[in-house]
Amino acid sequence: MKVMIALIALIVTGGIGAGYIAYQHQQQSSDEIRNEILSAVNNLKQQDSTTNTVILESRYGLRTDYDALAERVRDLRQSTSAFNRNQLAEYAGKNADIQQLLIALQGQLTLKIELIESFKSHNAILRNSIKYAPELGEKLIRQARVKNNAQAVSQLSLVNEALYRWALHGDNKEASVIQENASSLVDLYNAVINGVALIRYANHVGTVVEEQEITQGFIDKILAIDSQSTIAKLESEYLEHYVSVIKASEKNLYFVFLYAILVLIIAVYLGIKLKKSYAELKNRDDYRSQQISVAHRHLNSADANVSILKETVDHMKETLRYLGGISTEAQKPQKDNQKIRTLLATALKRYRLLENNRVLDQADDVIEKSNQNLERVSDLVKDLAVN
Amino acid sequence: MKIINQLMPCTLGKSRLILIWVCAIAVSALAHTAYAQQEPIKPLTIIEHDADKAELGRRLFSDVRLSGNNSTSCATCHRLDQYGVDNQAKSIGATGNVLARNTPTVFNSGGYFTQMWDGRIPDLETRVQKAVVSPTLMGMPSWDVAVEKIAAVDLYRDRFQALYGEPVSANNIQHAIAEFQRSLVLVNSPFDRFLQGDENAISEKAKKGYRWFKEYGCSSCHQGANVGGNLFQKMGALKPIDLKKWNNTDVGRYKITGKEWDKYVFKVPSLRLAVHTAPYFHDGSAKTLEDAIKKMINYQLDRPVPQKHIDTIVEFLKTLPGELPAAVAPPTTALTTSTTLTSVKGVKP
Repeated sequence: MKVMIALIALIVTGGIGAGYIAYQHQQQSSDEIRNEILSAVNNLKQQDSTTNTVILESRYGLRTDYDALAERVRDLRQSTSAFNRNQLAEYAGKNADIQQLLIALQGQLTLKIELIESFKSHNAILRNSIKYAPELGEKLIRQARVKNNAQAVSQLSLVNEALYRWALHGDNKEASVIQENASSLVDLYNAVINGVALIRYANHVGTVVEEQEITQGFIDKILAIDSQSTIAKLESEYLEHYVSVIKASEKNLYFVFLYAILVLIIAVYLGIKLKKSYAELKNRDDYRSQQISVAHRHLNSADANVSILKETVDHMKETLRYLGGISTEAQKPQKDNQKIRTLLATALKRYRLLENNRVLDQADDVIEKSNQNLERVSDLVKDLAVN
Repeated sequence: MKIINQLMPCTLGKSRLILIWVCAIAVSALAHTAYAQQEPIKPLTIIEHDADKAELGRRLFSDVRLSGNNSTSCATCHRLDQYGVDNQAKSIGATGNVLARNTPTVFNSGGYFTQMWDGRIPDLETRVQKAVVSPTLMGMPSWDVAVEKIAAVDLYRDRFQALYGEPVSANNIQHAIAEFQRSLVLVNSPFDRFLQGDENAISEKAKKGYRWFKEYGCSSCHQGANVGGNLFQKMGALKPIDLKKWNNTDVGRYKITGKEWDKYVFKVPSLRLAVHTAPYFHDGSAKTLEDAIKKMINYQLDRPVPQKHIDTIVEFLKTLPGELPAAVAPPTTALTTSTTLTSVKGVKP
């Protein structure tokens, strides 16, 4: 019995332990997923921010090639697709806010990448023209001087100096000066030696103004994409979601513990109850064994008395048979007196034996005792049936 | 030391002189590094890849089983013995059709920011995936058929199982071929050695050509480790191209994005192997390098260029190709098939 109780306790304790380990494991894998997602979020945040820096470096000529920018765009693409592949996408399926933020972020990054590609193209054109136009302008100013065209020198100098200043500090006032004068540059075709070069100059100056506007437009649009804030929102939304999941899980664990304790109490109560029942059953069993043993003794005793009676009856039967033989012999016409005497002597002898045994005197008593014993056995059987 | 003493008979100690010397060397090395960092072109570096998978990809790259009618492999147009091109203005597809654009080289293509002239494909795996089932390129009915054909070859079946731990699949075929292409980086070119400080790695004429290359503004687009291949640019950026003269109606990226600014926009090709990969441009319309340079400087940069400058630029471009990787040698082990090609579903005999 003790073993059984110990076994129940062991099973219940084991169950609680296994439940706790399962909870811990779930908690651990949930932590791993959280770390993976947060790491992906941080990666993307960092890549997005680095991309902005590289764009500005490219814009202001601090980088002479686009490999770094192309690399950043590739990283952004990879991180975004990794983002969609990892567990966050699974969360997005369960949480509408996260899903919405993911879609928004995807849209922002796609637009950003598109704008970066266009920026690269236009920035390359701008770089060339901004480098070449002032150089060509100087040549044309020299040509205008040779031709003694002061007005041409003045107009070309105005544009070229504005170009220099604008290239240096990007003041929009200078851009306006260039723009105002660029369209009338072609009028100076005959004022310089190489008119074709002047047309080319006008084209480059126009390109500078146009591409400056375009590239600045792309930069403004790129920087206006608030992907950082979307990523931050996504992170906080996810963390909120994560915390709520963890809290729910902890609450569940609390209920599991309560349930386990309840089960343990019930098990102990049932064990005690079982122990009592077992003891009672054992007592009854002992009592029955004792009663059966007594009944067995009574039955044996009754059986012995019945045997004595049977023996006495057999003697009586024998005696009566002799007496029957005497009677038969006495009724014959030629009586054998000798035989009658012998039979009579034998019958008398048997009768005396019966008389000496006093069995007949005790027969009533023996029967009475047997009846009593049988009655006792009957009572015991009834008692056993009741109990 | 005697020389030092004679040259600098001052009160400075010898140890100080040596220290100054060492510092001067270090400063000049730093200056050179800074100069190299400011250069628009950077030395090419090997792309990380699995050599065994690349070797498997090399076999697949040259295997005609990957075409619908068993006539064409990737290497048919991207000839490995011709620097990854077939030197045709436009290649011929598996069904005998003329392709829409010039075949670019596969060498160094692992470093491109996108694939195809219009950049519609983001990576090499997708490039393989599209090319095999393209009706105009390799004409395979489906990837299921391609997988079945490749899996029928004992060697492939065994190698895929050994390298990928799984049977032949579309994904791992694409990956293996992409790995091979990533292995095709031609490093250690004379120009890269020059960038790394070996002044004698290229000729004076080539150095002059490099200066003109930068001066004219070619390096605004053709920059980075691949000397291009990292941005899009409009054909006719400074001067609109004469479409009638060029007999060209290809609108480039516009066809993909539908955006006005993407009209006639194409990926800027890498110039690393330009000297070996004529003809040039997306339509193969420039037959010689000189012609291409002239047109580019005219339409893209709107500048006049004398022939002697073009010659020096060509001389510079000759210094760009690196060493051919060993992987481009033709396959040596014969392939064994457990089934004949005609017994495979969907394959025309």
